[in-house]
Amino acid sequence: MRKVLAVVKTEYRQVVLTKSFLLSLLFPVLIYGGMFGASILFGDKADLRDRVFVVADRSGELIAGLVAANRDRNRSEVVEKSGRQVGPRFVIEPYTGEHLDDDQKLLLELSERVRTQDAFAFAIIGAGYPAVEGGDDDLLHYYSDSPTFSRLPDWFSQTTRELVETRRFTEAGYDQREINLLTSHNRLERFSLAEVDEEGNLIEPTEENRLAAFFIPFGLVMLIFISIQMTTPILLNSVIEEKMQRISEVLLSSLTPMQLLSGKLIAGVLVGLTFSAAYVLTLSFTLRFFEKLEWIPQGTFLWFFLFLIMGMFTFGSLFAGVSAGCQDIKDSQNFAGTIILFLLVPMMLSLVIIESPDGPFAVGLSLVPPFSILAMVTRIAIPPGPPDWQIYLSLGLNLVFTLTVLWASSRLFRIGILAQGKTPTWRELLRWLFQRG
Amino acid sequence: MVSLFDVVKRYRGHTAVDHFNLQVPEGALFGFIGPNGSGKTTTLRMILRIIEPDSGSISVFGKPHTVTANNAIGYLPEERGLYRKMTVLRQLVYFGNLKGMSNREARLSAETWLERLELGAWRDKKLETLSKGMSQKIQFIATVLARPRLLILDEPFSGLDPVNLETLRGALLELCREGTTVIFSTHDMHTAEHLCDHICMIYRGGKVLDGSLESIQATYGEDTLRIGFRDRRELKPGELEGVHTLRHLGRYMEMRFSGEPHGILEQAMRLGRVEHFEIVHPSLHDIFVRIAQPVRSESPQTTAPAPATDA
Repeated sequence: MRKVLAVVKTEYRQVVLTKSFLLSLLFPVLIYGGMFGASILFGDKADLRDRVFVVADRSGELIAGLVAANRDRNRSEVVEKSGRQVGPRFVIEPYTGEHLDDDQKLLLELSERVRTQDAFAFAIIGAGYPAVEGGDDDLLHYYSDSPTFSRLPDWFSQTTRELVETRRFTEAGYDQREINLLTSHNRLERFSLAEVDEEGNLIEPTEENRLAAFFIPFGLVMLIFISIQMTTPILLNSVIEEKMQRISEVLLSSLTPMQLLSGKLIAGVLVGLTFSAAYVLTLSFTLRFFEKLEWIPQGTFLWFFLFLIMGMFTFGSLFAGVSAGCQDIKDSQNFAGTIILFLLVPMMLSLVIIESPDGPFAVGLSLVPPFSILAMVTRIAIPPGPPDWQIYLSLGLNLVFTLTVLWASSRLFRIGILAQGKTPTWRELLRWLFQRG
Repeated sequence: MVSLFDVVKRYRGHTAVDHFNLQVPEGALFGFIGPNGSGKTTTLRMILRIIEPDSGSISVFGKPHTVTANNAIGYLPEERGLYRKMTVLRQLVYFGNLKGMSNREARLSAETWLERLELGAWRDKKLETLSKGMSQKIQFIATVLARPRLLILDEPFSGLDPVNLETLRGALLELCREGTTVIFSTHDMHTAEHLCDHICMIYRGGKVLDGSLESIQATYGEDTLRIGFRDRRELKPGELEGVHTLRHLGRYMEMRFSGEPHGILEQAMRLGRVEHFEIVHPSLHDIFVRIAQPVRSESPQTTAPAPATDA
């Protein structure tokens, strides 16, 4: 055990006391602090250019209202009382050209204006759009080559709808005060389920935060991915360096391959934990500071670290075992690329899991190692979380899988670390599993 | 100190070590010689339990070998290996830790050895800043740091310049005087001949010689002549009667003879002015060539023909 600890200590220090690692620990501070600072400094000011918006209103009934509503918006929402501009102004330009009724020519003419940056976007309001039943002519189309800029189409959609509603109410004989009363509504507020504590008291449902509901599980999944991605190549490089520099033989004259592998793995896991703990602590302190700690379901971090440890042992031992058989970094990276797919697939599927955490796909994936490492943490981080039995089952299956991988990797490591010559194929690696030392 | 009994090791159809027996007495400076690929390193690795024999038994310090016994064994592998990015002292302490030493013990021992081999000023430098000779001395320190009872050195002097070679040879002899048993493998017969008191020769996985240098040479008798001419003339095969296996060694020629040496001297004097005439024991190199040549002409599976002589 003393020898294993000596390996752990040396390997850990070799990684943690490097400038690159210390810099990586500063990333959370830089990321969170940077985001916070940037939002204060720049806010909506990132791009304050006017957006020229050409509107071809075939009904002829909405353009005046749009221009007036935009004038109000530019005055009240875009410029603060102090006179400071906080967002881009929209400049509504009614279409006055000769192709208003010619679809093809109108589209080409206005598209060209957007392409030459004479305008930012344009819209066509169908002639029958204001009517209750406009038939084929009830079109409201928006065209631009900036699909990610949603503020203008959102405003346009909402404003035209309000203008049409007002017009209909007016035609029905209502005055403006009545219209306001009839159309006013409160926004939808989303809550978690109500619960009862041990003493029978109601635990108030908490307000759902859509942003947190997405970013917390996705962030944790990313953190597991990065921690494993960061730790395992270190193991791979360390094994390859010892093999290429012929240090392995010196080491193996003092300790067994299993002791060496254990020391390296534990050191790798500790490096990963140090890295992820820095992120988790920074996140926790930040949320606590803003009194938003309830965004993270209770116990999430405990499960996060348990699954992370198993993930690092699984992938770390796989990397160490396979790279022990390789003759250079390039070969080992080829193997690593295949192994990392087992991590990449569930990470990419985490969006599907976030969308439907209790669906059969999410439940299935969160029970199959090694995909379950990321999949189950994703589910745990989304309130109310999966049933306890699923978490324990996933944990148990992962434990069995991790131990199996550890056994196999120790076999590969034992033979590979002293093997010279050509890099083995996957088939040869399989044969090594059952070969005598 | 070390015993190998009927040890066999095969690698995918190739027999690296074939029914090998060995006894290394305590306190010996034991030369383990043989050409490249003869099975030396495999045998040493088995003694260290880095690899396991397919059959046979190995005991170290009089007991069936366990890995824990390696704490008392220092091993210098043929392929040197140190961490290039780690400082000298830190890696020496690490290697000491792996031999069961505490940090303090390892540091003290490392500092003593560094001073002794005139490397004290380099203790906090990264290995990559050191010359090759210095690195080899560091590797030697890593091997002897924990004061091992048994030292196993695989080609310890290869690639060393004469100054560093002398330094390490001196340190090695001193360790021997202090009671450390040394098994040292080399394919350089000359080095083994000058340094070792016991020699075992391995060829194609089998033992072909075993004993003290004197006993080995006595087995082969004094059948070797060295003749040198003032004008450095070179003899041709068949020029001297009763002489065979002629080798030119620069200042003189070495040859095996049969019959009366006086007759050969007379023949040589007729050819030119003889400056050097010496009857010697055959060198290890010569003995090895005699053993290996007949084997080489046979199939690879043939075992070595010469009997081993026990010391």
